[in-house]
Amino acid sequence: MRQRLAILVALLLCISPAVQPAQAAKDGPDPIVVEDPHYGEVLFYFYQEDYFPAIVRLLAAQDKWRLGAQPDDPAEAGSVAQSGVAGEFKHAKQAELLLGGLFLSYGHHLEAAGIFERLLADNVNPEIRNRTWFFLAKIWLQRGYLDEAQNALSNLSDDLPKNLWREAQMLQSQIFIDSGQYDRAIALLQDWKGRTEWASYAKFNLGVALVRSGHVGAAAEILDELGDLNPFNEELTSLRDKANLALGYSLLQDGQPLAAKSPLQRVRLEGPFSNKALLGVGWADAESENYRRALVPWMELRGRDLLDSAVQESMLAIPYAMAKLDSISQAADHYLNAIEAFYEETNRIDRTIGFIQSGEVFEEFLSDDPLDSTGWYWRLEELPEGPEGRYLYHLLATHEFQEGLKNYRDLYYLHENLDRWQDSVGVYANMLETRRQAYAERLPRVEDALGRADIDGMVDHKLELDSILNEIERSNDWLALADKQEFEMWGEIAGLESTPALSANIPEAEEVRDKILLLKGVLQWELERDFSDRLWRLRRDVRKTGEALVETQRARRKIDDTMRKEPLRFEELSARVYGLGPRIEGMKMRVADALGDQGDFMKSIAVGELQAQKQRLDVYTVQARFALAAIYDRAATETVSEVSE
Amino acid sequence: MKMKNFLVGLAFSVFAASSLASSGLTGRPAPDFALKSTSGDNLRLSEHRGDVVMVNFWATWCGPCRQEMPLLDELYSRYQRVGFSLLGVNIDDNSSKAMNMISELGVSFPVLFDNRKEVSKLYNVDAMPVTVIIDREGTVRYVHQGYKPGYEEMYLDQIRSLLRE
Amino acid sequence: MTKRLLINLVVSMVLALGTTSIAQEATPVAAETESRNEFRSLDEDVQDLKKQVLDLNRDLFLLEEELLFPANSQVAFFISLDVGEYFDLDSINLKIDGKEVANYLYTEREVGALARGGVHRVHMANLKTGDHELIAVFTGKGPHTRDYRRGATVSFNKGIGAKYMELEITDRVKKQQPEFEIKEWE
Repeated sequence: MRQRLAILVALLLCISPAVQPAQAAKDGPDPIVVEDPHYGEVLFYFYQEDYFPAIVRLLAAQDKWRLGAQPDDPAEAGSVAQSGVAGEFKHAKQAELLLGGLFLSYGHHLEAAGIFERLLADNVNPEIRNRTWFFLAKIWLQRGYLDEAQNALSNLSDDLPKNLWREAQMLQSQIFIDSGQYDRAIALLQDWKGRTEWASYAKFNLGVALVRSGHVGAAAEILDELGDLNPFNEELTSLRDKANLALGYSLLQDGQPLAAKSPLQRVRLEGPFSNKALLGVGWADAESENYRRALVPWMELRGRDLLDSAVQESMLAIPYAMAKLDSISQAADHYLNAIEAFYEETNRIDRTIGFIQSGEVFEEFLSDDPLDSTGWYWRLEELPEGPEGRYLYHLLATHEFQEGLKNYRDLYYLHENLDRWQDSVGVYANMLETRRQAYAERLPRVEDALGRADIDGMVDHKLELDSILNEIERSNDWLALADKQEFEMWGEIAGLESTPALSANIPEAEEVRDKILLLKGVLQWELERDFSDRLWRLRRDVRKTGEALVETQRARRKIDDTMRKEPLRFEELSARVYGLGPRIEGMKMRVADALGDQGDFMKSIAVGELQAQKQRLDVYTVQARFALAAIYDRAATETVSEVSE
Repeated sequence: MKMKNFLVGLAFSVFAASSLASSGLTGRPAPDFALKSTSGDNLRLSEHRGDVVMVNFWATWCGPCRQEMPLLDELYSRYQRVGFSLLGVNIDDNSSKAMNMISELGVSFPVLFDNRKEVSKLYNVDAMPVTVIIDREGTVRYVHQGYKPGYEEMYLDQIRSLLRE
Repeated sequence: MTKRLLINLVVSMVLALGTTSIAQEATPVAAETESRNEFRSLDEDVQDLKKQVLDLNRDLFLLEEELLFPANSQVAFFISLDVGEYFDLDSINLKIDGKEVANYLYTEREVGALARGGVHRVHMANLKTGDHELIAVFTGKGPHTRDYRRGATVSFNKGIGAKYMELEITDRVKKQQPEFEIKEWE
């Protein structure tokens, strides 16, 4: 009995005391307001918890910066300037921090740690420094590296922002508890100031520390307080349940069954701790020899999921109580029931083990869930149908399995990603080839056209026209601007003028001479009058031609330039595209291997877990058999004694 | 005489709706003319072909003209070098009054004297002032009748856009 | 046109030559014949010349129509300039039968054109047949930039066809003192 209890308590207290509100667990680096568009894209993915693409883009952006395409105006990053990061590339430091946070979220804690440590080695400002240490501490702790976590915590300076400081204290308390330094944990937690959620968690941890170090009474007080609090969210409700449960069991263990009842009854009837609470209530009554009353919660428990150890316990506890109540035959029935139930359950477990080992289970898992997010804090909501579902639910409860599953999914996602890239590479190679062909085709035509167009000749001609017009303007040569008709007319008149007959000294000749002068004069007047107008029009047209020629020359230079550079670019792009293929193939293979390894690993966890279940069932079965045997013995003895009387 | 002119002018500006107002010239070739200028030379409109030309009709008895002219002078000095010509056309009977006002206002652009009012008739000027803006090809593009503070901004924009053609 | 004239000329010259050579072989009686022949060829020359000029006139007439476009009822008035020293013509004023028909102000450019031989058609009048009176006045700046002003009054008769009147400003008669010289054509 005691032994049973002890097992239960041990089980209970295996619950990690390191409790944190879910939000805090999601904390990454504070959003950084930056105006670099690359950055914006990174943050876009980060906020959607699409860590993988965020990381990819950030790495790409960093690459670009290293190659010299620096973020633009250093004066632009207003809030970046607030953090006061010294040095030329303000963005670079922030980027590193963001990258570290991203790796964290993605689950690459080693990488993240590496980045943070590198950042710390640099001369970053205290604020960033602190946050970095803080994150590191959190990571180390959650992965179970207590020493490293402690080291990180002790590097924190005092001026963390308030909420982070509280969390840091909480982390410290967890480290103390996990490493068995209960006294220090108690000392730290007893002085907890403030009335926030943190205070409740602090209290709980304190209670756990007290219990574990044997101060049941003090623990009881605190846990009792907690057990009574008015929760306003799921986490606090959960915490209250845990506190009540912990209190109840420690009281039970301490031999105070009556006192144990009330906290246990405060636990929610439908919740993660309700089964254990029911069991505990039953035992509290049983310890006080109220077996009939004990049956009530146990019967309730009996109808629940058989995989829960509390339920399994109840199946034995009920006949135990019945035996105590002298309902021997009923007790025997229940024992038989239990043995059968355990037997069936064991068979189901065996089948499940078979399924898992054949590998189909995980594919089912993956096919049921969207593959988009690959974050560390992802939780599986839906379970696949089928008998295996129950077991998997229990498996999920274990941290190890969850982490493993996440890794598996991450790898799967990577594999898909690489597949897509392989396809793309094929497409790019095709595009490149098409473009190269098109270029090769068009090039001779362009060169031909350029060769034929005597642009230089045209420019010379234009300049010639300029100087001709200048000369015309300078010499006021209005005749030069005459149109064809006018020019012909002028020619006619000039021809007539030079007729020898005209120079005769007769009045008719003089009259004709005068007439000719008149005609010539009228034509001249018109030509002179129109001279400046025509001149400016011609100049304007020549100017426009000149502008067009400049454009043409510019275009030609551009084409020349492109013609020179394009083949080189093809070569370069070609090399890169074709180089990618084998790299991707190589990575795919490595990922496939890792996927296989991870799959095997998880199978082994699952199978192991299920084997453990089987073992427990075995143990219970044995106990049931013993108890049954004892009952038969008793019955036999009684019968014998009856007979013998 | 002055008064009568003024009244007549006023009457015209009120009642002269139906006749072809100066604005009717928009889009047509600017009627050519030659008048004697303040410098004693005769100036002919068509000889300014190739420039953007502003012709501003004014009289000494017109108040807004007085306001407008210094601003026009500014325009002239700014844009003269880049192909802008300004011809003021004064329609006073008595040129000496106009000459006084010109020197008083410190006007530097050429002012032509249309005492016989032939040119103002050519341009159907019936109210004062009238500002005509002619493009490089000799086509009337804008006609502004009267002057209100702020018009000079419009002139500036219009001249600039015509210079760019 | 010019070719035709040339041919005529050559023909007449050949004819002239021909006549001369025949004359040389003649006797003293022939000498008289010779001189008569000479006279004849000269006369012929002159006649030929006249004919050529007439032909010229006809060609000019055709040109006229292209350049001057007169309608039959119209009279065209032209201004031209022929002065020894530069004369700064300022304005021309024409009155026909007492009515002002033209008042032209000449710009510097225009004066230059006139000086180079340009001829300005200053006015076209629709006039009834019969007598009319023209009063033409020009102003300008003479030497020593003194204001210079001259006028001319002329009566002319408008016939059935078109008529041109050229008002030439010239100082042929009195140096540096330009005056109007008026030529009429029908």
